[in-house]
Amino acid sequence: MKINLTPNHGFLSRIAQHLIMRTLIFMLCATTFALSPNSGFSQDASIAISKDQTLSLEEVFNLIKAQTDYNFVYRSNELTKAPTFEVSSGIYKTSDLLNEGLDRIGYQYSFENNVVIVSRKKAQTPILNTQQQVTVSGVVRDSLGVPLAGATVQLKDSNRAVSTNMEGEFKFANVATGTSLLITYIGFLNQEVILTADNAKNLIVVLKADVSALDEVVLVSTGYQTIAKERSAGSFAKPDMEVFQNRSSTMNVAERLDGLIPGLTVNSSPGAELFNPLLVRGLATVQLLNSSPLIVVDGVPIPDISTQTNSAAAISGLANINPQDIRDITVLKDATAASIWGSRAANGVIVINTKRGSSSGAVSFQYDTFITMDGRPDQDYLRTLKSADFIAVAEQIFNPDINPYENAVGYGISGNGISPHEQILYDRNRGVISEGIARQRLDSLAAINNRSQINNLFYRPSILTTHTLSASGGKKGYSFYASGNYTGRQSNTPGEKDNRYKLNLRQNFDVGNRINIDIITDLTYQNRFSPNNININSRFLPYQLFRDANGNNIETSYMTELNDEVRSEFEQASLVDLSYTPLDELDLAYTKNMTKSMRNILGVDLDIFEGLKFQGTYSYTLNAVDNEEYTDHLAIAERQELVEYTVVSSPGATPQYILPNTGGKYAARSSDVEAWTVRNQLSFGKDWNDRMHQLNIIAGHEAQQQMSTTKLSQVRGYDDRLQSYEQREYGTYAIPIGNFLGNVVKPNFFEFFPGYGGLSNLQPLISERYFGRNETTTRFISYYGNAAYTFNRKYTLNASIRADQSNLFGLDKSAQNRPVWSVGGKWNIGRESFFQSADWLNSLALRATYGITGNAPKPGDAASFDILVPISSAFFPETGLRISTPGNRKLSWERTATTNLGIDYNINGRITGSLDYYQRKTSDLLGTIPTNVFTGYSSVNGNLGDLENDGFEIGLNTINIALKDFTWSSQLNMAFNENKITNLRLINETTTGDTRVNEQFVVGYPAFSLFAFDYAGLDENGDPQVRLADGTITTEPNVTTPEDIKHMGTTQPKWNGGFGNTFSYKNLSLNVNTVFSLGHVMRRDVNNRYQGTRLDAANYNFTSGNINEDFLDRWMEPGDEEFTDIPRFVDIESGNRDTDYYVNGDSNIISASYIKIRDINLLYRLPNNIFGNSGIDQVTLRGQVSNILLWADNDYDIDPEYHFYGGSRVLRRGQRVTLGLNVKF
Amino acid sequence: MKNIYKTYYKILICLSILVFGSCSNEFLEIVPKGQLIGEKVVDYDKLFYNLNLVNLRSANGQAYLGAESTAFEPFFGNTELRRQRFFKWEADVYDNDENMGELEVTMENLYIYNKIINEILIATDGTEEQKRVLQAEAKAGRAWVYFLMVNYFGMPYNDQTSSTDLGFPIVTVADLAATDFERATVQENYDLIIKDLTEAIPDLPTQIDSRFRFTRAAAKGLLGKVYTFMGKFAEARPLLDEALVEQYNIGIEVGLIDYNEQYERPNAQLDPQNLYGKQIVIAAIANREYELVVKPEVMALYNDNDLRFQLLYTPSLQSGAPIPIDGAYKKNVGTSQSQIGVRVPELYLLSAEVKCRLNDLSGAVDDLEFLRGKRLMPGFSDVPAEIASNREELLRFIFDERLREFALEGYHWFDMRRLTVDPDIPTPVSSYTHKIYNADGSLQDEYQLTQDRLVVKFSPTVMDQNPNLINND
Repeated sequence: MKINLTPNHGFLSRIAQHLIMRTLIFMLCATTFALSPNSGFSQDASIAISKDQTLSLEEVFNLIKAQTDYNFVYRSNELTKAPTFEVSSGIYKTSDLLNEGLDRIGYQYSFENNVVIVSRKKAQTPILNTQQQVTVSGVVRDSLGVPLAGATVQLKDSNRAVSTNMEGEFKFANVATGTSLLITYIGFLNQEVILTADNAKNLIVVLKADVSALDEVVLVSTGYQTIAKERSAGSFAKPDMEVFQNRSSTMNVAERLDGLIPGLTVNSSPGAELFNPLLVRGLATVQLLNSSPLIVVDGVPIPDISTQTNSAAAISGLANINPQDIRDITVLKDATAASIWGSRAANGVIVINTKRGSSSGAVSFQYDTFITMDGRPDQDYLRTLKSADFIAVAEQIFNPDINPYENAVGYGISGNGISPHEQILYDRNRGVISEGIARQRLDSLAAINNRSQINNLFYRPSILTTHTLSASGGKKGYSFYASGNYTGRQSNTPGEKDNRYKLNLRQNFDVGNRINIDIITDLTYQNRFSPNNININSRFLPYQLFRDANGNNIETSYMTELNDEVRSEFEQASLVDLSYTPLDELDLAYTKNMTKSMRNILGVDLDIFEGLKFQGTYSYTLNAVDNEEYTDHLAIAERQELVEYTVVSSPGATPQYILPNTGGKYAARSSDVEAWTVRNQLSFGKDWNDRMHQLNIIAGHEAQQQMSTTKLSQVRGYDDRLQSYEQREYGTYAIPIGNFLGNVVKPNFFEFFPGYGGLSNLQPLISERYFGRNETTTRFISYYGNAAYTFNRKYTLNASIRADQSNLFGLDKSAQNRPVWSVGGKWNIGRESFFQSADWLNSLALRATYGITGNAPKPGDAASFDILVPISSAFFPETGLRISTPGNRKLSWERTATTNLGIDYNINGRITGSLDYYQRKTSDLLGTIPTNVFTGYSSVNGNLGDLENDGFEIGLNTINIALKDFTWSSQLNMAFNENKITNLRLINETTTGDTRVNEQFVVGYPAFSLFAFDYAGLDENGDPQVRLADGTITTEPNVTTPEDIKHMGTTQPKWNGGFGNTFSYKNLSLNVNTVFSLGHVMRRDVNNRYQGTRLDAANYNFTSGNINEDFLDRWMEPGDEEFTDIPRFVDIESGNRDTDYYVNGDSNIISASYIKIRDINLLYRLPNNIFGNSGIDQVTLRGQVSNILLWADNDYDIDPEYHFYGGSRVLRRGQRVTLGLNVKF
Repeated sequence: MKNIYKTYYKILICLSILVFGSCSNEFLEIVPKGQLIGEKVVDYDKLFYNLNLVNLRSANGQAYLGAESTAFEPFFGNTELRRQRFFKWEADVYDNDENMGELEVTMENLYIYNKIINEILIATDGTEEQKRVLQAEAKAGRAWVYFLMVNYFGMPYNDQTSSTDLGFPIVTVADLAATDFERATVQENYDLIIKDLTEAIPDLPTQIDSRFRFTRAAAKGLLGKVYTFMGKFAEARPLLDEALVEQYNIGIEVGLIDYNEQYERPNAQLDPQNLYGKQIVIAAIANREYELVVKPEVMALYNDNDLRFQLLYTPSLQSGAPIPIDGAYKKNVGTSQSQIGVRVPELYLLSAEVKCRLNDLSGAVDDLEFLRGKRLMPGFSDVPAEIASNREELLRFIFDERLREFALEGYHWFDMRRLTVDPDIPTPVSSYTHKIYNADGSLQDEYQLTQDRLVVKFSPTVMDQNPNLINND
């Protein structure tokens, strides 16, 4: 267990710092604080006593605690009996006060790391004549036998001290017998042992937990302040950092949090992961954008550093945080916890603090490495037809009357190649080849299976490797933590490279005894490279191979828009080879990506007077991405384009190339995201009358800016060797009327005569942007305040308020400026006298909060006024303006009101946990509102409606078995969320079932609902029937009304969480983390091909062509309706049926629930004795396997994490295995 | 000690004021680059250069409603249902939840025009003169849209019934929050059109540098067409006369293309026959689309020396096989864009029609022959003498000429509608038929136009949004 007592830090502007420094130096000169030699106080703080009074010892401690950062560890039952003593008003040194109080009862104190440890004075040990020097070794454990790592073992009469290792073991050489050893550990009662010759070997020290001290030091961080959890009514949750750190199959912080926090959903199912990778307590917004929680690192929100527009972007900055640098994570869930973050906190806040050094003692090092391997994906998971079936189906549905060969090969300004199997079918039909040859050829295609080639040529196992070396240490007044990290990612696409290097340094300075400065510098450099791979999977034609038996790459020119006949014609005319061999293209284009990030935070903490502090935070983040794209002139796309602009004046004439036919197309784009925050905050903390009254107040002001700039330049004919390019004035080639090029080989605009003489549009070349620039700025100004008052350590009241103003462009002033606020109360009922007799109950507290958080639209996204953007066209003599976002005068910010009720409990020290119930009411949801057609637009961004989330969360930690060598502990995190849309301002009322079936947001139903037709099987013609509400069964399309549609559930899990078990036996530890998502539904992936005459891959699309296996089970002849639900296939749809009755029918809605073992971790700590004097403290080996599907509630072999809820599968990743090593020295 | 703290507090307070107070409005009042809120006159000026004001895309039902076409399989069956239903003159053309092609872009046009009309007078950085010009342009644009709308949804103009016939809802403000629209009468629609154009004409520019901007000449031409459609030929005549003269002097090239010199249909922005440009997509006139062909009766109106026939028609499919209907031809103008703004050839035809109706037969013949001179081979462009001297024959000849000029390009439907109430050559609704042939040339089905189907019905979506909107039968 790590407990951190560091108070919150912040910063100040440079000028302010300068001025304050001077003042402070002056003050330091004026006031000197004497250091008591025996006290061990590094800063013997002054304690003000306002009036003459009689104090108990505990009251003295509280007084000191209230005015300093010090915490106390003591055995409470003994000290409460200590007599009171009189203190007159004045300023006292801490040491004096303590000596005064303790001496009289035979107690003493020691001080370390701001913790005052109070212990009984030992009677003077008689000095033994037989004093001898021995080497002490031993182990420190708690009462459950768990080794205490990091406990301090000190020789009482000297300054010599050591810390225990991870095993709780320590060793001291050259110690005289008779010396007292003082063993201390935060949260435990001190113990002294007198050394004898007998106990020097294998000394076992058992420390007793100090429960009152324990709950004293559980701190939560809101990013603005760190306060004792006991003092806050808010709903906070913290992950088990041990599991978090050992879960080393990923460097992604979000993935490591999966299942560790009740109420935090980590979505990794397709679709969801893109938009809602992280969700706190369900959705507070129906707009898929902006639904991610706010991520705060070291007190500052990490800026969205990606140029994407979805909300994965909002957590994109998280990718640059090394999980190993993280000290603790707090998730703020309710309004009291989160409303301090104002208009961006509606979706919850995740507060991350990074590690810092400790100022006590030597520099320690840690090296951590791991390697994670994912196998190749499973191509069979997509369930497409095998070659033999594919050929049979293609042959069955082939209909040259409806799709004559002339049409199939017809070419104007576009066309399609003919796939090999279709070429055979057409050739047979046209009599070009005999029936026998056709049969033979088809059979040979049917015998080929390309899945292993797809998997071997276009996929590879992915490997993630990381190395982190960290050092931390410090001495009085200075501490540091530094880490360096390398992460190499080999994706499962061959040829891709991704290497990341990180440096992180955090330093803490004490300037005098009132100023503390904290500097964080975090640098990231990432380099990525992708060659020209095709995107391919088993949805492609199943017989097409890519490499022949001799290792030659196979040509698939039919995948271009040109069929063989047209292609050879164009090739002859242009003298350009237009064939296409995918594997040959691998090196003909590439994308390079270089990311440089830095995160700088300067914090200044200044004690002013009597608990009043000034805290300044000044941060600057820069993320620069350089992107280079190169496509060689030999790549198929460039060759095709070249021919579009190749002029052949008459048949046979020498072609003239308008585009450069050397080098390639090169584009460089650089995107910079800069963000800064300035925060000035005053905080005040004080308590009175033996902590009868405790008060904390913060108030502050904050200004933020985020600016993104993108610059783009592009040239053609770029020669990488010479770094030269060709600039041509394409307009000069235009024919008199319009910007057209005449007599081109491959027209892209208009074809006069097949072959030559067509027109190509020069406009794209003329208006091609050689340079572009784009800039977006977001600014916020905020004022905030927060107060916490506790009476008699039992009753706590919290309140907070915050006002945000932004530069939200196009927003009416009245639409912003709505402050958010919260109030909350907490009752530590466990401290009431009627519970004092309950020995089993260590603590019990009740919490209740209510408050408002907000969600602001993005600038330019939604507006009160029409927002205009430039548009240029050859039609116009100058740049025009188009309305990009029509104005909505009634726009306002989204607001979420959250009520939270909670219980925290600790039973016997072995069962701890919390239970929260919440209700979140979101009003003025931001979203796209359909508008009346007569207004001019079909939709506008605006306030869509209201949404309600209800749910509860259970967090439960238990120590099930605690024996000397074996422990078993469990954590259960479980969240239940149910939501309902209570109001939607849809002008367009849904009147048909066809619409309802595709709706996700309907009043009275949960958000992300799934609706279905009441499918009534096939009729005698094999057409799907729907059952209407009145019982009518029909195949007629367009007849359903919303009343006929069934609500099937929601696609968001209702139950979500994790269940972790840790077993330790001696040096071995096994950790099994199970995650579960239950209670949601999805559409099954069914056949959706019911019409047509061809099975054909789209041009250049290697994920098309094949169809779902279910096609084979379709209705074929009368009577089949008894056995199958799958509608018949037709050549041409008559308009008299609707196959969606089946595809979107209730029979195809299945449960999406699943339980998975997210990971199994095995840890082994090498026995310490094998290292000897090598300087190595500890070596840990880790092994991990991930993602074992235990149970999925469907009969179709669907893993819901690899399935779109709308009914299609995505490739399933291979098995993941991780090996890791951790060395401390 | 206390004094020191007091001093310190003072410093701190000063600092706070410095840092906290230096905020605010200036810091927040920045305008993002690449976007703006229309404030200046120049912004409103640029709003006219918007592709959505030019490309009305699928506002093209008229092309499928017109009786000059015929259809055959398998091509007809392969076109989208909406077009098939229009062709069959079915009442319910749109499926549930389908957007109405006729309203999609046209309503956005209306929003932009209304925005300009209502906001331009309070725009900054411009003269009153500039503002009046832009407002006039927007009014003319609005009139153009309304004229199209009333001809889709309202019965043909008729003095007797138009004050009660239902037209199109009147929308004169750009407000996305508006709901529950109701229909105005056809008369009210025409009143709005005439008011807008009449007010606009004096303020409109005479010189422009883009044919997507309204000129005085174009507005006069449009108003002339509106009056002609209303049967107010006397009012129409002076406007058309002036438009035909003024159009040649608007700063850009305007006039008829002489097919004897070359035929290549230029893009909208370069087409000299566009006095004011707007275009829709009609797949049937593009080179590879066979969804509709021109029926034999209409093809018979051309003679062999008509260059429109020679250059724009082909009797065969792409494969070289003949079209299975005897005498039917595929029209191929080289692009699927049909120009429907204010067209120079139509102004000559309207002028001829109005003169003919007002008994200026020789004037009418002059206009006709001027156009035909650019369309037929030299020596064949004269109007036959027996027709030139007979008012009714000439009038019919003018309508035939409209077909020859505009077949399949979306004009004939609107002519069919007004001919049903024509004072001079009334044509019964039932005389219009559509035929669909099988691939082997045998007749599959025949459809007859009915009175109810002279108007388009609002789609189910539109009806759902506007409970008080009365639909056409």
